[in-house]
Amino acid sequence: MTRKKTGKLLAAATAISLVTALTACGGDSGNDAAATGGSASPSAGASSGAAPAETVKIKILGHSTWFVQGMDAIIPEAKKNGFDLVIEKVPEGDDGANLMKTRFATNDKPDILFYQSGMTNNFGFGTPGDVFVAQDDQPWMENFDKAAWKNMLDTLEDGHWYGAPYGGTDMGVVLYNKKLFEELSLQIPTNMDEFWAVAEKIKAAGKTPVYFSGQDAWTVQLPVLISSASQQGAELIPLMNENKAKMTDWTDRKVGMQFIQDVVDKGYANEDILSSTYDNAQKALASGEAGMYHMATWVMNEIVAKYPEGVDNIGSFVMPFKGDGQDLAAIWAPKAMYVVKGENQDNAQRFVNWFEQPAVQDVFFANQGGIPAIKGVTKTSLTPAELDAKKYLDEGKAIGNVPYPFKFNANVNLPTYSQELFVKGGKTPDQALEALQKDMETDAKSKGDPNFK
Amino acid sequence: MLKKRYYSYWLLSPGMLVFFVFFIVPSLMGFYFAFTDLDASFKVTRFVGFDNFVTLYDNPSNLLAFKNTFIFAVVTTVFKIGLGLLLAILANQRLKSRLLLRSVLFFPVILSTIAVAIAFKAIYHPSTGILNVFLRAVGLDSLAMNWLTDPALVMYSISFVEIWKWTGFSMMLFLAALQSMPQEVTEAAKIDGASSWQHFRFITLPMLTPVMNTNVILSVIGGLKVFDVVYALTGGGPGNASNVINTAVFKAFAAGRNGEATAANLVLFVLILIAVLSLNKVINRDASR
Repeated sequence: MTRKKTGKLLAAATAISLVTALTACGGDSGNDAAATGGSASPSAGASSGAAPAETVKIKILGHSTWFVQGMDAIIPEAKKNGFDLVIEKVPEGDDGANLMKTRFATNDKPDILFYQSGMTNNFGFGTPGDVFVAQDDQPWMENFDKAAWKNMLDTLEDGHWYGAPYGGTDMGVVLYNKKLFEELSLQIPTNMDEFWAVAEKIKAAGKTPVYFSGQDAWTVQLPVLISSASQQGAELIPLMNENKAKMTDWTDRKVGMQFIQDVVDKGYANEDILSSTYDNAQKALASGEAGMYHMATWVMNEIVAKYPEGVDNIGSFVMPFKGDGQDLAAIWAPKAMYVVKGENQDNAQRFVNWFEQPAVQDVFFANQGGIPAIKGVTKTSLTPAELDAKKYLDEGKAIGNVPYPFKFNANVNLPTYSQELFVKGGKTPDQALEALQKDMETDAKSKGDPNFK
Repeated sequence: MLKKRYYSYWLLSPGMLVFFVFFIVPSLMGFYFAFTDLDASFKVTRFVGFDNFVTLYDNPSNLLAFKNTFIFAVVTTVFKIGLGLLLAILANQRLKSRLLLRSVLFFPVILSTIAVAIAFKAIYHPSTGILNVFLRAVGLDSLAMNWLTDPALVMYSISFVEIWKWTGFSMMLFLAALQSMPQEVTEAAKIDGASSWQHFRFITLPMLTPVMNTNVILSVIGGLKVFDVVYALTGGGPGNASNVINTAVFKAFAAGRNGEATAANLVLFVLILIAVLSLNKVINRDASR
């Protein structure tokens, strides 16, 4: 009897679950019908209240952490202006990037791809001109300084601009806990001797001087990218592209790699580096458990969302690898939105043109940190760490984290090799540089470049 | 009068067409692409001969991937078959709890690999993972290891997860065979005075040989093709320490080196073919004795 009752209950529960699931599956049919056509005007303002006659569906693909406060504020405004944004979020780092590339390789493409700027053939999405709509003559370009972002936002191979800026500029710096520095009476280090002295005092206070989030391999390349941001790189990369210089000649890059190993050898890093995540690092920095974290300012968006109580305690400074004020902050071009060629490209382009208007950008930057790349944006909400970093940019003490575009895939394994600097029996900085050189040569040869025969 | 054939061979054509279009053609295209410079946009600009294979061989991380794949396939096969057989014998006993026992032992098989990997990632955490916490609590500090971050250990840690997850499947196959064994043989052996060990060695084990063969071949193929559990647990890391062939293929595709990736796939195909043919040969030779 009891068994019968249980059976009936299970059957009823299964039936309810199935009905619920089917109802959920059917929910999109109306939107599909509305996806054709559309009346959203690119000139419609951010706060236009009246709902348009028809709404167009725009499929977006990007890393999960790229859609935070700014985009949260944009979504309802976009809806009011006739854009129904369907955002598919993939994980951070290589994992997510690989998923996105696989989607493109299998022709399962979104309407807009959110990805790093400066798209080239090497990014793995195909030849940019074949896959994406060039933005050179789009109306939003009127508020964009092409000269300032040359070599960072355009495409090396054909000189076209495929990406429209999304979010603000980011800077690779040392984020530090100001409260901890104040408690221990520490000053911002201006050379490496001072840096090690600061680390020693933090360690003596029972805190972690330098935090590495080694499980997320992409994060451990930051010290290397920061040291690579120098005039030496800007001069060497064009030569490397022609096989007239080697990766091993790039001594500034080696400095960052050696730094990683030195921090570990001196006992200034956290325990369990390779099991520590990006999120662990944010928590440790925000709470003051860690004194310093080498990262780009984009991490502040996440700290604002997850650990808001720690935001005001975080500042930033330029890593004093060279000292005596010679160091430059590594800057990242803003992220980019790429309109994918296809049936819905006109609607996707209209969304991009609408989004890049200064009035709409105000909505974005009023809710999210970052330095806007679009001119005429009046509302921003920079955190103290970003304001500290912005000073270096304003003073002209900044250069691209990759100071000139690589013609071949030279950095694709940098996260892995940086991770191997921690691994027992892993790589030395020289071996890591040689491996990067080999990767570049392999890619150049596979592309049949005559300089690499 | 009986007809030799009831249906025309033409009736096979729809199935054969689907097989040809979706299996034979892509496989042949894959073989061709392995000898080209197929790029990220799936364009072929030239025939490169064996260059992709030379590149594979030249890259130390690829060689490590082949070694790791081999270790994984061997370790998981040995333990899945050995433990699967022991558990099947246990679950075949006339125990009151045998139904519950079978369900519990089979349960890991139906779990999602990703969910299992996430759980084990937490279990293996060097300082907060339950494994090391337990070992330290019972005074076995020296056994508390960096399970997923020590290059010397990582492949074995991953293999353990695979064994934990799939031993139940192996057990089920053995159990089905044990239950279909004719009782007469067992009774005859008892009458002849065979001990338990003699019964197992000379009756049970030989009668399990066909299932054992299936189990071994499925496990070896699964081991050589491994991807999900490695990717979910370590992504091939730390560094390249736990890279296997399929994670290397995935990374090559992601880097836009599609020709190299298809070449690695071709090598994997050939390895599986050799492994299966060799195993079949050995198994058939033993069976015909």
